[in-house]
Amino acid sequence: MSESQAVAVDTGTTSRELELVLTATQLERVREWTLQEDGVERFAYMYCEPTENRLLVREIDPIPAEDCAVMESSAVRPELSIERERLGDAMSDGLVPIMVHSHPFSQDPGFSALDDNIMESYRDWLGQLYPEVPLGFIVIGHAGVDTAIYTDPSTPRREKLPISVVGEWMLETPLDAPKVERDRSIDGERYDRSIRALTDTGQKHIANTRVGIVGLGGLGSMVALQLARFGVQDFVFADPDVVERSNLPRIYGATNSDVGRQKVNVVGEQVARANPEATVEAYPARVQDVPESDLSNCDVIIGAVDRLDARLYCNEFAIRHLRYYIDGGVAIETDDSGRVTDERGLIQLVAPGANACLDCMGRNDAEHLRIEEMSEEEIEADIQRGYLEEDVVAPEPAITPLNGQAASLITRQFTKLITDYSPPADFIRFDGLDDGLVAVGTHPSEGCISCSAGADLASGERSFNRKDLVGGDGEIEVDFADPMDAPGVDSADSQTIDQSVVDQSVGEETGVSEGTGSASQPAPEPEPKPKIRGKAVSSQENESGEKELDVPEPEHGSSDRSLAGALFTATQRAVRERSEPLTLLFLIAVVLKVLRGRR
Amino acid sequence: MNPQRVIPEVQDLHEMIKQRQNPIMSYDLADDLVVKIEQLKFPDGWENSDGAQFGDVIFDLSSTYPRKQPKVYVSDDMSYRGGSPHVLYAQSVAPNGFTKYCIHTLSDWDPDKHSLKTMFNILEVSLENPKAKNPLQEA
Repeated sequence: MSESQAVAVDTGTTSRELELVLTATQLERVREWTLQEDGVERFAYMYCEPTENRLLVREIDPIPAEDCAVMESSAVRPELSIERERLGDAMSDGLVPIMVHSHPFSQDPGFSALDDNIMESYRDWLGQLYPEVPLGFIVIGHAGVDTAIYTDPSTPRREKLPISVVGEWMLETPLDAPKVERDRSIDGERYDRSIRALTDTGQKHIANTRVGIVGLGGLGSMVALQLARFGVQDFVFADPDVVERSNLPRIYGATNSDVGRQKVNVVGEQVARANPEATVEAYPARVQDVPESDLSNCDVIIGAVDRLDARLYCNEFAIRHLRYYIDGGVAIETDDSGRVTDERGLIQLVAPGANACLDCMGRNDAEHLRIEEMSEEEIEADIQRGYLEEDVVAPEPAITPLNGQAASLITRQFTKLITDYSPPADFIRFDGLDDGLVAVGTHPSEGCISCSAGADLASGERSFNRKDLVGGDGEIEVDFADPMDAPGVDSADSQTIDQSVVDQSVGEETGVSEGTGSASQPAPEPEPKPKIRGKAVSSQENESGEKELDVPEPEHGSSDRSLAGALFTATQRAVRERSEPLTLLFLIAVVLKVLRGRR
Repeated sequence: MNPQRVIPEVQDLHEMIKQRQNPIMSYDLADDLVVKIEQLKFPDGWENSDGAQFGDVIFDLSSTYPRKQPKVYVSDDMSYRGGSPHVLYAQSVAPNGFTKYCIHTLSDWDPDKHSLKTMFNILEVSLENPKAKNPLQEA
């Protein structure tokens, strides 16, 4: 590898185009490998999946001494053959490599002159071969890192690569690293009281955080309004439902005139009124139908839904995109006499790779999912056959104060997460009957189907060519009776709601106002519910083609339905093993906080 | 649903069925999320409207597979010993040309242990004795 003649142009600025994202667990692993007690410099690769403007670390590849050309107290470099192999493999897989080496003698290291030359030589070498792949470098010390990124390796221009650590509060030693610059300003007078608690920096973090809220019913609407008043300016809403009369006691701000309107619009307008700086991308659709890019740009996703499939989708989505997910839910149970026997709320914070996800906690329920996906007709048929109880579709009891308590806990978790004023709990359960609250820490479960290494629900390649997804021996055409039963191909459309929309709607009002005797007026016609179908799978739109499986052409008789019987063979293919035992390594630290008296 | 998990399952199922007979197997993991097996030979006692033992089967995966078992549909002209056994029902909710098959629900369905081959095996056992209340137990 030749020494580069170009001189690196270190701008000293922090990149606004790319951000490195890794979990606290991954960072601890890198630290453990590179900063060993022998004081020798060590080397590792991070292989990152590029998504939008984020580089998501998917794999840490430590390089042992026997694979290094140099490994001393002041220098380290892999063998050239190792570099070619590892970098070539990463590039071929569409991954962006980040080259990490340590300065074990330093707390907060900086790149040396030698490091500068080496980085330029890498750029000179790899930039020609892979001009469209960013090149990143990290030097790690005991407390901090220095970073460098060639966003365009065809030029010597270099910036600092900002780093985001998922679950940063779990680190033994906080990481001093470049951060994404967030320059949205705040109204100091408006948020004076919050700033006195959270500091100016904390309030700015809130203003610069994009929040996705899934479910804008009794719980979600309260969360949305609290966050809006608190200073969040950037929202994405997803909910396919319209407001019904029975929702009015619980959906914050909803009135009789909102019956029949999309919940995302009703709550979106409330948010814009509460915070004139706020903008809401409102999707009147299931979260599964929201364009992936819009949801993945949310720093925090909050689930306030009563459907398990939506919760689990959000869980998998957060894991795949290394985003925080706060899942909130409440439940009231009654006995046959109608007496309340249980009143509870559960709030779980998912910090992918750092703590337990919903599947780690065993919150999947196959039977619940099965019933959720049944149509009304199917449910009725199963009830008639005795497969299901009649009350399986009965509405769940719900009361505003329980929602309010859960909403406030969610907002508090969000605040701790974003402003760092206190570490957030991983899992909170509160009991509405005895006013008890339990907050516990959680750990990822080894073998989790969603978040463990090699898990195949949330991880893995997500983008496929259509010809990989449709194939077989013949043309497939399934004519579902109800088009809504067939997941479609179109993502949902959104409406942007901000202060201008609210001002316009106020100007158009014809006299129906909140709190007046409008109950006698007929409810407005419900807004037409768009037939929203979403991509179940992200795929590239290529020409469809049949995938040829290794199958002999069947013999056809005069009718496709009257073939002669085929011969059965005695040979049986080895069955792919699916018997890896699940082992749960759950360490739960229980902090019991009992609240007495009324809130 | 992660195609990376499901595509190999479909191929494994195809290989398994191929060892025993020669149905036509197709899949759509992009839009309909289904696996379709055509011209599958049903066990003795079953026949279609042409009097042959062959019928079509659909595994309707949905976006949540493999978290739960897929739904199963069979050709709506299949009969068993001249009648319609109780396992066939809810035709109005099935795709055109099909009727819903009451497949045994595994109480311990586990995505790590169970797959489309599991479903096919359950279906085979049920087709052998469609009048049984608990075909797996009786098998």
